[in-house]
Amino acid sequence: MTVAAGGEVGEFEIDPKRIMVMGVVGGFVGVYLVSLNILLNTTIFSFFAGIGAIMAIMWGADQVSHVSKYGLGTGVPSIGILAIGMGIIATLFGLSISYKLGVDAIGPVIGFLTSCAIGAVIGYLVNRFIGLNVPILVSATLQIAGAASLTLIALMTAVSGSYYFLDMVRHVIDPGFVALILITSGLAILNPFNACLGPDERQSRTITLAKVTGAIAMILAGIAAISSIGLISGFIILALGIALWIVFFMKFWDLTKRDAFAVWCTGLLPEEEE
Amino acid sequence: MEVILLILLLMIGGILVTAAVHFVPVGGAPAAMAQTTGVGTGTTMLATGSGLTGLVSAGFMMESVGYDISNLPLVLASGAVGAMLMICITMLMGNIVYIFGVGVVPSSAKVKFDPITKLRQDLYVSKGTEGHGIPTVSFVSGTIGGLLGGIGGSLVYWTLLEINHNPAMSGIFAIGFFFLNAVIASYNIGGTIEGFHDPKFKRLPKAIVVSTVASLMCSIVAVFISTGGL
Amino acid sequence: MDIILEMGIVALMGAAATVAGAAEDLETDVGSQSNPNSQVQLAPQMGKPHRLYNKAISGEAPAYGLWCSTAGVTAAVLLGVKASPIVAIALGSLVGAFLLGMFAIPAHLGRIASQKRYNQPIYLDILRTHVFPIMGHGYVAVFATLVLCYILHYMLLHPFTLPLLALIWGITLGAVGSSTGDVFYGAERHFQQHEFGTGLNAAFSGDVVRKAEAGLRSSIDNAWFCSKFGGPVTGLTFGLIVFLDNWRTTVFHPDLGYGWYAVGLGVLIVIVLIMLNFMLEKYARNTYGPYKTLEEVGEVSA
Repeated sequence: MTVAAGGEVGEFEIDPKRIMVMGVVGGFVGVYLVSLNILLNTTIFSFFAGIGAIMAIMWGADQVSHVSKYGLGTGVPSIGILAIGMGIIATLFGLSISYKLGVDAIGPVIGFLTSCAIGAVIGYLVNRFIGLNVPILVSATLQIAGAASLTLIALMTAVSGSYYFLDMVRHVIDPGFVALILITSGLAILNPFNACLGPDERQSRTITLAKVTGAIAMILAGIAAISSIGLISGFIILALGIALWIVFFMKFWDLTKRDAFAVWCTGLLPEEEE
Repeated sequence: MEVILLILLLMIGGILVTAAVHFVPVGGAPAAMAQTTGVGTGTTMLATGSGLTGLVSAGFMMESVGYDISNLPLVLASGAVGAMLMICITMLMGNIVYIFGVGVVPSSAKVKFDPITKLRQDLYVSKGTEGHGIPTVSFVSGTIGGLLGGIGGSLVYWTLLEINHNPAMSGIFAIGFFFLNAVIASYNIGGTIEGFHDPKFKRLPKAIVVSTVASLMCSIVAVFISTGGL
Repeated sequence: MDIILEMGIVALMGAAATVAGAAEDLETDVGSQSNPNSQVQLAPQMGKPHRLYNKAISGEAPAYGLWCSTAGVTAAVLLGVKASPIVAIALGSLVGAFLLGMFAIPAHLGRIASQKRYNQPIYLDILRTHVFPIMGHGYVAVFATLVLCYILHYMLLHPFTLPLLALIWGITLGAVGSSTGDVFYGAERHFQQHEFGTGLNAAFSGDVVRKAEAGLRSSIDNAWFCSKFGGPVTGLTFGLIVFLDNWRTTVFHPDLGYGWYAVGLGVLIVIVLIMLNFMLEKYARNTYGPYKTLEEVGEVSA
């Protein structure tokens, strides 16, 4: 897809900084609330991480929509694929190194920061050497990499019921669930803008679609969680995901009716304008 | 010392993937309408598809012959052949669609004569397009791309397995590595390239610079990922 | 394993892959996924509103990676509780198909709603009639891919787990589909009003066929047309990839020390493919002839 460019560059309905703060804070709060699992020796609080993932996905999708309006030459999906490529490497590093240092609790933070750093360097290099000349590329790749890392951490935490590296290896990586989490994070982040692409794209609708895809990611995490942390805890994530999906989809449908030229049950083509 | 060697191998793998993408003839969206020479898909998609097919072949071979370092050439060759097979069959069938489904002759708009077969190209380019299909030179270029991509992906996988002894973790990590380098390369060529005879191919060094730094960062990070101690 | 039995298993994998490829291509024709969709997207901008399904779910390769790995995870979860493989694969594919539907609906609504200024309405009957063929074709594609991954992991003992294999083969399937069958959909079906074989002038962009034999064309008509050529070619491509790649290690099994022979056989196949492509190119040149003569480009002053 070379057709890029949605609405106008530089106009926001919602301030991207606000979404960023919501994404970072919401993501980390979601991940760390799963500590309740460890404190109370249960797994039913894993769903907090799923909600955290939705917040992070909103942030990533918002940034994808801003940077893609400049036209990257290879379409929208590439930046999402780049993000999960960087994100998975940095995330596993953060979790692994904190386990080796014996401070598992700071693993998500290290993974997030590493991802941001790799994203910033790659964004700088791409702008500097390859010459894409997108002014916001560095900040966008930094934020998208951060959001991807946070989404991966949150979904992996939801599936494994803890953010400890060994739990994740046992519950997420060894059974191969990480493959699903990798690709679902990528699509959840890149799809909202790609699916709303067009001259009348509006930020509020794109963000709502990000919530919809985020809820889908939560549903998928719930399916995997049934096998890894038990039927009840997994089912809570799954049911909550489905409920959120319905709520967000109805909101998206309202916004579609608001933005569309017309919604017809059926009919012939509208009069052509000459 | 061993750690530095592992970092180097990972880096070489990443650079090979970036180089491989430059060889793969892709035309992006215009090629899907037979308006540009090359396969009608995205750069990242085709290179990743072939590289991952190579990864499956390499993983299978490694499981059969064992992780010993003396088997490394066999594993790499196996990955390369798997990737080459995928890309060659895709290009051949793509040409069948272009010739029998769309009715156009494979031809390049970037060169007057095919550097390999010496066949005239510009006369066979239809009006208003920049070539279509996959002429022999692009086909051979794509095969080289598959070769390099397969070796790169398998090398990353083999090295990671050496570090963490976990096929699932190494596999997913190799996919991440592949995504990263393939996208860097696709930004460099701006979505479309015909192969090594394309003027855009001269941009390869720029992508190599970016890929070297990016792969170095990721390799340094990667050697710490294992369930063992520090 | 007995070589005859293993050969049969490899043939079964090839057959499953063929079905997967064909169904995948038809799904992307009904749903208008990937690169040819840029023409559907462009049409209203050219003053040509249409009744086609306009959807974009990422690229085709990552999207199929997602459907297949979802199905793989669900199947793995069910296999973990000792469900029968057939049930596990069937239910897994069902979840994958539902997921495809969950992504396909907002993708269509979002794209059309973003074309307000070109007077392109959302037709709810298009949404209602197209989503189920999309999910149905997607189900077949995901099911067949999952069968092949199951065989690879549980019978040929590949070290990658089922979800990981499903992701990899899903990505390859999407890459193959968008490289082969979609060209037929994008370059021929959308532009049937232009003479066959004249090539597509870039000026024709967005001028997609909007009227059918009777009434207005919908994307289901496109699947009907593409099932005659684009779908089977895609199936053949994916089937050949899966079959040839596994066949060479079955003939020369690396367990028995024939690894290098398998590599050699693969290289031989690649050389044959290059020759075949050259012959095909020569055939096309001789049959269709050039678009311009040497006189026209001014190199022969006759």
